Amino acid sequence: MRKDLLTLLLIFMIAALLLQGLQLSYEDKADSEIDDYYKEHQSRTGSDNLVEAILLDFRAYDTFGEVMVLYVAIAGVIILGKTLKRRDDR
Amino acid sequence: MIVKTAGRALAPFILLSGVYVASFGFLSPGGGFQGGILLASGVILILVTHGRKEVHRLAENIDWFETFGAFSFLVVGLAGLVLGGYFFSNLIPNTPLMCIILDMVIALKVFAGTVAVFVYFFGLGVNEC
Amino acid sequence: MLNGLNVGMLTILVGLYGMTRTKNSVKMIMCLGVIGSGVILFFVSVGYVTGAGVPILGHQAEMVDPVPHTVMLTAIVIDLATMALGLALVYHLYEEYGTLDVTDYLGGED
Repeated sequence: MRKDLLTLLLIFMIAALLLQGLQLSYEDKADSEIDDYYKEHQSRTGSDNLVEAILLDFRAYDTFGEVMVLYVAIAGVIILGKTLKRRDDR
Repeated sequence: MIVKTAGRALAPFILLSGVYVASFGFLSPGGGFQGGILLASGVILILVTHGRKEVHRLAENIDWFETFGAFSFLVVGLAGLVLGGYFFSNLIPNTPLMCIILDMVIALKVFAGTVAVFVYFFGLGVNEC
Repeated sequence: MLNGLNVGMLTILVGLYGMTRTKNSVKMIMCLGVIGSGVILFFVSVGYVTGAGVPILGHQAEMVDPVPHTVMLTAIVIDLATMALGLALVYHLYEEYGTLDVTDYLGGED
């Protein structure tokens, strides 16, 4: 019971930290200039889909890191499956 | 029986739509990740309806697909470094070549990863089948 | 008042509460998924512009901010990969200890 209250208190403290985020609405946005740059230079990628243009051309280095994270995680799953099979054989 | 027939009938169309979504990602909604997940769902449908034996050869060699995807991504980036001057620069400027190549690579990679995960988790629960 | 931003934040908080309260490791992984969903909802809502269309040329003049969409596209895949790796590890722990309770892994004390 006491732990319940402590956890709830912790969550409410985190909620208080996020209070500004909880009061946001769609109207009050920070003006970002980076998407204007992407919209102006979209023809350099030749892609109509702006999300793809950012994902695979402007920010391909980010995607490269993401692909490597995916590779390592899936390699971990495959290796864990192989060790499990070996234990069954024993 | 009904499930097997329906799965066998639906799987090619799901795979085809996956290839479509992946290859036309630069013109329309979609892209490499979504196409890869669609491709994987076609294989998972066969895995669920027909058992593990039908996808045995693919499941044995799925890690090669994964490794090929990861390293061809790196090779494409290095080709951009050689041809364009910086990492992942467009190979031919003002054409969607980079988007198409990387879409295909990512679709292959996400397909391999999702199929590997599902084969692993199905192998845990279903011993015969 | 109630929009995607608030609901995303609340979903993150619900996931945090569940993750701190439960002792079942599978439920912890599920809470990780809930937190990931909250983050995705929040970020996609950050990029939303009222009345704007999809970020594809030739549909509408005004388009939503495409940068959060791009970031969340990678986040979904990372979420899938981390949850798969976590569930595989939980299965190995279950094989080793015969239980899913996280306190038992540390020797039984709370």
